[in-house]
Amino acid sequence: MGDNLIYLFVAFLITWLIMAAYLWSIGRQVRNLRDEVEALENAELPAEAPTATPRRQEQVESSQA
Amino acid sequence: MKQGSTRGLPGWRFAQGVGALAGVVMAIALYMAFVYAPADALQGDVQRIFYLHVPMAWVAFLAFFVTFIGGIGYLWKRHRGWDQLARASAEIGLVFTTIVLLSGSLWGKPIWGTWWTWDARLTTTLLLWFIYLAYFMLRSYVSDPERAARYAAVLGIFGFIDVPIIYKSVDWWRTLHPGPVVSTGGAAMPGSMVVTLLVALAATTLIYAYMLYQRFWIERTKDEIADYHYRLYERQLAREMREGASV
Repeated sequence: MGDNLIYLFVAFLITWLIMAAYLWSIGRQVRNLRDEVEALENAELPAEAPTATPRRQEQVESSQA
Repeated sequence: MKQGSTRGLPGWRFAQGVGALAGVVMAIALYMAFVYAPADALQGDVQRIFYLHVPMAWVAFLAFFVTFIGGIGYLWKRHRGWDQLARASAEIGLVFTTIVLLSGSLWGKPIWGTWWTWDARLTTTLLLWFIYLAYFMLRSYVSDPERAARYAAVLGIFGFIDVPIIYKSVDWWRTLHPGPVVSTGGAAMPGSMVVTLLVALAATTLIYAYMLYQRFWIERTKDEIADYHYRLYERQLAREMREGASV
């Protein structure tokens, strides 16, 4: 059965490579979107900018209060 | 920009906690899979792929169930949040199904002597993978977001019908694939293997929950940005029309 260990190793390796790549891709998308939202907050129509960052949420809540 | 400025978002800290917990439980699951659980008497160490393959399959099915619920919710309420949930979960389901097919193939080669066979369970699982690939192709081909969401919801609902077929395929057809190892009649393996499987299931489910939160946030934010650009475009158009009329 020793020869079969390579299949076990490759199965775990491929799985964790896919998972790591996917988690990295999600993290990169989150960072890019955060950057984009913050840029929009300072843009032409701040009152209608997306509410995806805490600062923006605070602005919306304070304007509603 | 500041790193981690999304920390104040609703549920963000909780999601980070779930992610950290998933890492800890996964480390325990790996230890149990390689050290605590005994090697299978017939298959040897390669059977340990089971602790990877089965939890991934479980989470893929869970992900497509969430897509199914999201599809029903969207068609019923027409609220975009349901569609955002459905597409976030479908992508994770597709990734996990890819891992299921690859890990199954890597187990099949030493045990069955072949990478692939057109067995009922393998074929229906491959069909599931194609259904959810089609889900994303459909979304990218339809330019109107509302229509894309509606069509994808229908595909997500009908595509989910394949999941119970996969589950029952080992009962309905003669198949090479092993049957259920844990059922209402008890477990067909030692207790240490069952406990290891349950810990691996918990770890994979926690990873799914963490990924789903992040993917949902991405979809929601993308939609908000698209809305913002659309409103900006409408305002500019209205301003240009007013200026044109005054001239």
